[in-house]
Amino acid sequence: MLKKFIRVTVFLVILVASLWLLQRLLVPKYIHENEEGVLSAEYYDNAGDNDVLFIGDCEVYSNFSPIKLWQEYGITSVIRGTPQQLIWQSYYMLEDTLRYETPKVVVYNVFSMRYDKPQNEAYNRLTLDGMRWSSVKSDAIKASMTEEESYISYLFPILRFHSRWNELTGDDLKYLFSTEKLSHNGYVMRVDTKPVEVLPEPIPQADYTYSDIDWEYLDKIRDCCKEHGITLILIKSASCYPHWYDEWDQQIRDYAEKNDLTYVNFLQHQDETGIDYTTDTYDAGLHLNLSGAEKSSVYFGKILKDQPGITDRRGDAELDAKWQEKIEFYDSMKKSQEKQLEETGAVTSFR
Amino acid sequence: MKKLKVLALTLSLLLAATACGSKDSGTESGTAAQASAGTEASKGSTEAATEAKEAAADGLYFQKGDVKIQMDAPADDIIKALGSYQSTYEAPSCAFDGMDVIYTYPGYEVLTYTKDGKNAISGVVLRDDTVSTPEGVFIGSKTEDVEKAYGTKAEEGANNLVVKKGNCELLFIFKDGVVSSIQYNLAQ
Repeated sequence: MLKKFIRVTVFLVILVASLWLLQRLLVPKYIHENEEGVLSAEYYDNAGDNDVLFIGDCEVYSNFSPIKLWQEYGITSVIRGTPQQLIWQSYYMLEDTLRYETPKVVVYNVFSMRYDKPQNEAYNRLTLDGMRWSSVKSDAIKASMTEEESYISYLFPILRFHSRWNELTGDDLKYLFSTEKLSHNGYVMRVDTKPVEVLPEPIPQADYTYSDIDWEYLDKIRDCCKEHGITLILIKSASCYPHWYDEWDQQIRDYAEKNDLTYVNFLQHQDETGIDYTTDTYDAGLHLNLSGAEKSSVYFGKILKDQPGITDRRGDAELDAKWQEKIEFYDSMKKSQEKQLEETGAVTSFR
Repeated sequence: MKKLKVLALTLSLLLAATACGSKDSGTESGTAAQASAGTEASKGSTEAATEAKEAAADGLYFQKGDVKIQMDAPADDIIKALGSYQSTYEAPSCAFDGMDVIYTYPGYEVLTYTKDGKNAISGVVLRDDTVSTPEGVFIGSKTEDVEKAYGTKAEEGANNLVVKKGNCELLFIFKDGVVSSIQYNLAQ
């Protein structure tokens, strides 16, 4: 009887382990394509002792440098941005972060409020797959799924990615259990420049009113911050395309005023930030490059340092050592990208 | 033990069956278009051309000179036929694969996106009254003119009217009783 039990147990363990290994092999590794897919999971390596949390879409992970905030102000921060992160996902990112730490300030980029329903499975995956399993992740998945998606495919990604078997490369084996670090506390660096020459004229919208679901989740973010004694700051980051309509801006201003929140529209502070769209963007205004992200951070740091609970934390030996490591990685990536630029005229690999 | 073996075998067969049989198979999203581009592009192009023809038969398109611009039509030939543009703007597509491009011409813009590895029409925006729809509506036309031309009434109090036909949604935005914006959009 015992022998049989042991045999069965061993068999089951081998079966589950095999399926798990197969799943690890088949899921995308985001090494040379869609690299931002690693951002969601990378947070957990940086979790803890971050006084500022940024949440939102690519306009946060491209446009702010936690390393610069540390260097200039001794502010510890982390960015939990992901491509096309929708507001309900930002809320769940906040909830997930609170399982690991409680920042003093949360900064939410409001641009994604233009979306009021799930958009695209591919973007959902980039945000959700890297989150560690919890009831928060489960709720995030349920809030995010498009009609074509299934919850079970998030539970068992092998169901989603099984047919990658004929696309497997050496990278899938090499990065079976780990990946290459991409970000700097969530900031994705680009040193190249593609200037803004001509911006398209804004396309008029039939209706500029934000949907109920957007307000519902903004209220949730607000309430969650209040509950945890966190200061919430709303921002519209310095990306100048897609267009940020005055009608959207006014709604956010009204909300901020009504709720006694700080709202910073970086597009209206170009003089103060010093951002130059001929030198500080790597894709003609959609996202800032390193120069732009650092200018953004230096400007925003002046606002952050005056928030309740935010102090200059340089001088703490442990933190100094931790952030010195981050600075070294930052400088090393900067050199690597600059070399690529010099040698090939382009940045083809982040790392 | 036998039951467990049967279960394991069933599971494996199930996985294999879904791997082979799934039409909308789960390839990594970013590489899906690349993986299929080589063999699917020509098929996609023919299908897009057929769809465009059908849309034309349905009637909603923008026309500039001899060039008919239908939603989802292959874009490269259309852009070539339209001649010199004033400017272009490229941005990574929100549909994930490829680039969205805006071509600006005098009086209008043509928007394209990447479909099956090729550029396709995703929209046309009319910017001034130097251009009009084939039904004769232009920026500055009265609301009643739009309703007459398309046989549809705008909702009471609404500032816009959408005419849908095939894969095209033609949006009219009104301000003070006249058309202030005309946009052809690929139906979602």
